[in-house]
Amino acid sequence: MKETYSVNNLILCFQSLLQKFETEAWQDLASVYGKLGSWSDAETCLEKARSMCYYSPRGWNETGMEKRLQS
Amino acid sequence: MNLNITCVALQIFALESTYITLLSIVLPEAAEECKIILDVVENALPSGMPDGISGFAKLQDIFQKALELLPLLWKKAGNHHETIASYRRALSRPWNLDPQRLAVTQKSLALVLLYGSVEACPKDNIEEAIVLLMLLVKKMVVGDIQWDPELMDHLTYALSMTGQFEVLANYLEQTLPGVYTRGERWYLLSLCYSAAGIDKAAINLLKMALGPSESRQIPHIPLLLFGAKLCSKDPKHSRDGINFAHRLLDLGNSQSEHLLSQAHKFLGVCYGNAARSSKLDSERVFLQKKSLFSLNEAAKRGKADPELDVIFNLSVENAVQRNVQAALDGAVEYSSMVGGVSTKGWKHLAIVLSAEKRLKDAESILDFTMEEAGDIEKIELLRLKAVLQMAQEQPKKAMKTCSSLLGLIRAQEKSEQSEVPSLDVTI
Repeated sequence: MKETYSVNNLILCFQSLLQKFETEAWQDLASVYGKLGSWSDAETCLEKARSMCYYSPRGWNETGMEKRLQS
Repeated sequence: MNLNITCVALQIFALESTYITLLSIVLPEAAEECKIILDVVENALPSGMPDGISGFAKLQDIFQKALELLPLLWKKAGNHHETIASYRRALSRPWNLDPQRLAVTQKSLALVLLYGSVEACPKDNIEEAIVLLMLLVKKMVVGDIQWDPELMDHLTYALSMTGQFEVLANYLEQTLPGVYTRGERWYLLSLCYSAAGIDKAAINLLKMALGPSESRQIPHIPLLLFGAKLCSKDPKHSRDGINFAHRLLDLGNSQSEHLLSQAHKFLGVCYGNAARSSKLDSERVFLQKKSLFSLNEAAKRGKADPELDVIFNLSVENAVQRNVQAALDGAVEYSSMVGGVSTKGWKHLAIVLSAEKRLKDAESILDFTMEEAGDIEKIELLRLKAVLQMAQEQPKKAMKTCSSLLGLIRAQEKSEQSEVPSLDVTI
C-alpha cells in the first residue's frame, strides 16, 4: 500500500513539473509575440498559460505590459 | 510404526560410527553418507518427527546433527546448489529443532541465498532470503529467539539492494527500544525515508534530534550532517538546515577537515536559500554575506582535495550576487573538472556567460549540451535557449524554439500516460 503511495507521489511530482514547464513555455512564447507586436497571438498564448496556472505573477505581469503597450 | 522406528534406530547407530570417521575423509563422500541417514529417517517418518516419542532422544539428537551437518559439508565442498537444497530439506518438515537451532539454520540459508550466488543472483533467491530474514526478525521482536544485531544488518542489506526502503523503515520501527539509541534510530529511519523519496518525513525525524530531549546525549554527527544535506536541497527547510550545520560546527574542531568542509558547504547553501526567500532587504544582504563566507570557507578547507559540489555552489552563489567574474571562473573550473558530462554545469556556465553579454557563446554551449541531455533537462535547456534568442533580437528563432519546447512537453505527457498503466501492474 505504502509503495503505491510513493510511486503515485512521484508521478504527481512529475506532472506538476511538466505543467510548470508548459506554463512557462507559453509565457515565453507570449513575450516573443508581444515584442513582435502581434497582440492577439500573445493574448492566446497567455490565455493558454492562464488555463494551466491562474495565479501566476509572471502571467499577469505580461498581460499588464501588453495592455499598456496596446493603449 | 514403533517397530519401524526401532529398525531405523539400529541402522542409524550403525551409521553413526561411519559418519564420524567419514568426516575426516573427502567431504562429498561424507555428505553422501550423511544424506543416507536423512534418507532413511525421512522414508520412515514422511510427516516429520512426531512429538511425543520417548526413549528416542538420542536418535533425534543424531538425526538433527546430521540435518545440520549436511549443508555445512556441502558448503565446505563448495557445492552451492546442494547446500541450498539440503538447507531447504532441513526446513521443509518439522523435525523438532528447538527455536534457537531452527533460527540458526534459517539464518544460514538466508545468508547463502543472499551472498552465496555471486555468479548468478536470481531474484527468487533474494526474495526467499528476505522472507526468511523477515520471519527471523519478527521472531526476535516477539522474543522467541535471542536478539542478534547481525540479522537486522542482513535484512537492511537485502531490502536496500531490492530498493524496498519503506518496508525496511517498518521493520526498523518495530525494533525494541534499547537496541539502537534514539539518535541512531532516527538517523536510520530518515535514511530509509529519504531513499524512498519522502524527504519531508525524513527531515521531520531528524528535527527531533535538535529538540531538548537530545540536548544531554552525545551528538550523533552523521545525523546532523544528513539533516543539513537534506535541508540544503529544499529552500523551504533552509532555516532548519542552518540549525543543523551550526550544531555540527559548534561541536568544535575535533572532527576531520572533510566533515567541517561539508558542514560549511551545507551551511552556505542553506544561507543562500534563506537569503532568496527573505522579505527584508537588510536581512537578505546579511544572509548573502554569510552564505558566501561559508562557501568560501568550505572551498578553503577542501583545497587539498577540491570538491565539485563546493565549486559549483560557490559559483552559483557568486552569480546570484552578481560577482560575475568569480562565478565565471568557478563555472569554467567546474565544467573542466567534471569532464563534460554535467548538464547542470553547462547550463550554469551558459547563464553566467549571458550575464557577461556573451549571448552567442552561451547559445552554442546550450546547443552542444542538448545532444547529451535527458528529456526533462532538455526542456529546461530549450527554455533558456528561447530566452537567449529573444535577447539577441531573433524572434523567429525564439518562436521555433518555443514550439519545439511545447512539442517536447506534449511528447513527455503522452509517454507518461502510456507508462502509468504498466506501473500499476508492477505494484
